Amino acid sequence: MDFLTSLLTDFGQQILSSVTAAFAIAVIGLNLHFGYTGLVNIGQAGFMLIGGYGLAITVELGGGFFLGVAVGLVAAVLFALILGLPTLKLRGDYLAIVTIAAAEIIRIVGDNQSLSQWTGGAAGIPGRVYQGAFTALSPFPDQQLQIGPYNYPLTSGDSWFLRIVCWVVLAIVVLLVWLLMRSPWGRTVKGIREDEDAMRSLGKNVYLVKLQSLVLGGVIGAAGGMLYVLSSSVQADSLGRTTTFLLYTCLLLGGAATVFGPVLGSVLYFIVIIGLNDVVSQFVPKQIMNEQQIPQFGWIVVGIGLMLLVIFRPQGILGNKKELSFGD
Amino acid sequence: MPAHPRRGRLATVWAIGAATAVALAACSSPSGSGSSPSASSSSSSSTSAAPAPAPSTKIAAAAACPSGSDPKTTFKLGTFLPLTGSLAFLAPAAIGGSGLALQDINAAGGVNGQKACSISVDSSDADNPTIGSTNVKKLLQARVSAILGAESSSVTESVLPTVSASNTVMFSPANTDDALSGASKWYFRDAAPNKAEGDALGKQIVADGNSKVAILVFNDAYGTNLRDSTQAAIEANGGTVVYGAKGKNQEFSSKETNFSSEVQAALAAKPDAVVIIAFDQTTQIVPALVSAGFKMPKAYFVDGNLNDYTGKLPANTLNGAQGTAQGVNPNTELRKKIQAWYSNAGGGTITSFGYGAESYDATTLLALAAVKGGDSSSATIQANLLAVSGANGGTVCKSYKECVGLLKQKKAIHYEGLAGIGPLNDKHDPSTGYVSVYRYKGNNPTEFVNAVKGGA
Amino acid sequence: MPSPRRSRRLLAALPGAVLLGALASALLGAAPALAASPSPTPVPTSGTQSVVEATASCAVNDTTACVRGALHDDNGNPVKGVTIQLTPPSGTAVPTRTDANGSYVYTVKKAGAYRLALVPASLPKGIKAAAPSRTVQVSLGQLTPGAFALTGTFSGSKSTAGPTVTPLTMLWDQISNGLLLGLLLALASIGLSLIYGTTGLSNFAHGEQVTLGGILAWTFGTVLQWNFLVACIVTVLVCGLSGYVQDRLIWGPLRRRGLGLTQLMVVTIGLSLALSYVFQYFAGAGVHALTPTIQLTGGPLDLTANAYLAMLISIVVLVAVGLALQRTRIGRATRAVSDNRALAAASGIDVDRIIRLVWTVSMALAGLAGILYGLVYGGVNWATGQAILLLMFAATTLGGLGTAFGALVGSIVIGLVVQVSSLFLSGDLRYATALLILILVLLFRPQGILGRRERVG
Repeated sequence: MDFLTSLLTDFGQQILSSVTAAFAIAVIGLNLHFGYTGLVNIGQAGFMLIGGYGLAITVELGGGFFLGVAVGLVAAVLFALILGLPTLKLRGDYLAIVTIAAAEIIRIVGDNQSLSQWTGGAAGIPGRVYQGAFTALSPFPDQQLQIGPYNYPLTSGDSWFLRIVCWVVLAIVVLLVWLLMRSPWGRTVKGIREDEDAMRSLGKNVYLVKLQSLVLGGVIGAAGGMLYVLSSSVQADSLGRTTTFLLYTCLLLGGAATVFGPVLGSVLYFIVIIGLNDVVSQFVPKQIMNEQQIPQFGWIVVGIGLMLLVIFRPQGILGNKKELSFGD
Repeated sequence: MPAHPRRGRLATVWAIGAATAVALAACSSPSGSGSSPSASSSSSSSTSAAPAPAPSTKIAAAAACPSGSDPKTTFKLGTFLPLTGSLAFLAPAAIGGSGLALQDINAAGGVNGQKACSISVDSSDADNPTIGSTNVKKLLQARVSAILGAESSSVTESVLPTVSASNTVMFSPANTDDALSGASKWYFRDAAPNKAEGDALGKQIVADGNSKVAILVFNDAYGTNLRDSTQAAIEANGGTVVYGAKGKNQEFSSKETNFSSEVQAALAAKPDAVVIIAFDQTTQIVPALVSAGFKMPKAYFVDGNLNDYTGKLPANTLNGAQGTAQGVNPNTELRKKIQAWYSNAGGGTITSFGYGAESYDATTLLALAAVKGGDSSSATIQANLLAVSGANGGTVCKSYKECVGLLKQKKAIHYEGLAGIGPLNDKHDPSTGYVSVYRYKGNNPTEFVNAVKGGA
Repeated sequence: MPSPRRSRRLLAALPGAVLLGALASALLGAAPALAASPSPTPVPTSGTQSVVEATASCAVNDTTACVRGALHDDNGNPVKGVTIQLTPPSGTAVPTRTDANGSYVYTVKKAGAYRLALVPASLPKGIKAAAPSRTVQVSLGQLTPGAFALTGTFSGSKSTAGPTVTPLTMLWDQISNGLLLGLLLALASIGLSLIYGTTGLSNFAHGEQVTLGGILAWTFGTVLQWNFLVACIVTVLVCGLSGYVQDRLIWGPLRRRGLGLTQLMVVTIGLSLALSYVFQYFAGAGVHALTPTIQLTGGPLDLTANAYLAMLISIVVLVAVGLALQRTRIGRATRAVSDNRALAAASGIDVDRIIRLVWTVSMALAGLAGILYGLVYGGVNWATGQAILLLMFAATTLGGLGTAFGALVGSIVIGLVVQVSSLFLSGDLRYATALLILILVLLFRPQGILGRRERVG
């Protein structure tokens, strides 16, 4: 019973977490690309990184929090345009390779020591450099608050304030996507995913709509990246290929091309990871799997889970199989 | 191996420890054992018979914490070590060091009369940030008395805001980034900051008659930091750094797998000596250096890669090469102990012993702070850590048992750790550490050359 | 070795005598020198105890400091027989001479600012010291290096410097390295290209197949101690088998179910994630050296024997694959499948069988590349293949996605670009150049160097 309560407490903790919300936001951006428009963007973590750098460097140079947010978002728009303008006319997998390569370039450049006076090199920009600008906006006093079993600071660090902001932003983004997808633009986007040529023959500017989708999803990704770094630090390596892969896992788990799929997927993903670790470390003897092998085993399960998910339930949990024919 | 004054005493401490060591059962009470039947790896029989000391030949894995135990009364150590990812090869030594310390603590009667226990989570590396941030919250939610970790300075940077906002002590056995000095009132470390080691290493290099030095350094907070301090020491003593100097952008990526161009560029500068500041990449750098005709006795290693390369490199490749490591020659005895503990806990052979002694010391210091303050809450530990490390002076003691004895007599203590770190200073860094210089015999850095006082 | 010991005793006696003399003179008339001494420590009276002693070796401890250094001329040869003097804050200079290694050692028992000097007259002809005297700070428990910058060479000093390094030789070295990397990449990525050609799939797990080769070779050759050649052959066979099994169990059935290419690509991402942690789970996270042998570099390309061998094997295998694709029936069938699957099927080619063969051969080649990569670059770890995956994509895209010969040309170009750009760019940025080229190629010539136009869009 003890074990079960602690497991459930862990779950609740993870559901509340700002990281979950930040990831869910980035996944929603990816969902716009991949789920709704059919654009295979394997560089979503690059958008997150750009958002993080935009915010942190602006604040570091004295620009203030809101200017930082603006810079991060504008940088993401530019990045999306640079990627999208030339590639969106080509076949789908070219975009895939270009986005992964571009995200990798951002990561490598961010890692490099030559820009370390701004980016901090591989060590990154520590949270204390820019998080102050955010916590200063908090209306709460600087103390701990316990709600149920959860005890967090109100203002600083990974706080209730950050959690509230993250979930409010998430709600806004979900609402935005929901409205967008009910609009004519949303129908066009989905039409492009289903049959590009048909949309073209209907007189739609497919290229422009794809580009709009890429920019919008990228900007949402950057917003997720900013919220993500607000509880940690900006390190290029932390937003690399693996993160993009995780975003895909979350998206496909919850259901691509659904409004709530990304949120559900992100929450479930973290719950599965935590639950797996908890259960394995509780019930598997150390001779069979030592301390270090448990999380590694978790990753193997995630990888295989991603494969099985795509093969056997490509629509995810919330998706509609009929609607979903992403690819080709 | 030339004897060192400290080793004899160390061996005695160990001998006493070994003689008195009794097996630990899981620290859960017998009634709780039903819910956690596999918490102990030793045997199921010893778990069910918790109060009875098991045969002394058996040692158990780190005692897992039963859920719901009160952090004020039970010393709950949360270990936050890189179980996966690019630093995972460093984890076994730290797991072993802290596990061994907990075993010694419990053998000496636990903390404030209660068995100490631990909760282990994965910190992973900077590439997988969600793991660390998720897992550290698990520890905070479990209200651990203190967190031992992280190994990577980058990971510490990213979770520290959360940890310190939750008023929890975070004690790193391995962070060496100078930027973390005084980062938070909740943050402590006992790995000597790179400054001490770099200073000792730089002086050693120049004293050996090398004036032009190439530094092969990987792009990571640990690497560039240690490089900066080594370079400063070399230049202050009349040498020059001809490759890999600060601001030259000659660092290699920590994920690099092909070192041919780095090695060629470094040797093109005609260095007298080469310093390799890297972790596991060293296995690949050395062959590249030797292939290019470099004589390995002129190579210098650092604590991150001063490992036994037997079986990984041809016999005697490294003969004569030197390297520095924090602490005073914690070599063989402690390594054997840690290895024995780790094997018993289901682990394999430990390849890198870096930060094993520091983990042992960190765990012991945290427990001592809890004893001194009378309870195991994080706030109490935070308030007493500096004192037990000897920051205000006090009687020197060398083991948990000895120190607790002194504390019971209300004496001020100075726990002198196995890593030889000296008291923690007001920035929560080790004030004077020792840095040892070793020379490779064959492929094993066994010849103790010198131990110099760091903190210069 | 009796002589050093004797000289050590001699050296030890020397400063003692000097000190005795100093003491005598102090007692006789130079009393102020004693009074001026700030330290209350009594001046040692016996010859065996002194503040500074020239010794053969010195070990630092809490009460001892060492002052050490070594003299070398411009050729890096030790300069012996030079007189060095270390003068305590109060007291007279203690002289010593550099030994056959050009080094000298002082053991010091008291902290303070010491004067370290080199007697220029004792230097061999042709050598000059820029700054023969300076103050060094000595603290107990620490080592104080005493370096002197010397210029010139003494007569008989042999040049020990290697061949001169010019920008041209450095360029040549990087071109050599680039060819090597290119050939290894070609071996690894030809399968990537063939799979793309025949099935349209971008396999993100291809890097793990390269790693698999290296890890298996390490398991068989190093851990199990098999004969290395046998280990390699078994490794390649197992890797090939893994391709066969994969196609049989995963890719074949998925093709028949008509799963979209994008979905398949995400499946490969999952596979890549799972495999890389399988490696960590079983082999650990460290670097595994395949064979503990190191050869010296040499030959026209200034590479190791392993590297030449790896290049040779790559070329032979690549030519064999190329010829097989051009000349054999199966090869022609493979090309037919990549040109037009439906047409190939209609003309009686068993498309599934061809694709299964392509998977088998591709994975075997990737495994072989992993072995060679580990041999040439000193080891493999769980992320080795991952690290070069994007380079492989760059190579195949540059050469023209889906063409075997194109993969070779693309790989060599990428190898050269990566290595040569390391002359101008720091560490990891050279990979960024390769990726930048990848992007530019996709933008301006998406069919690649050797690809055909109709593949696009």
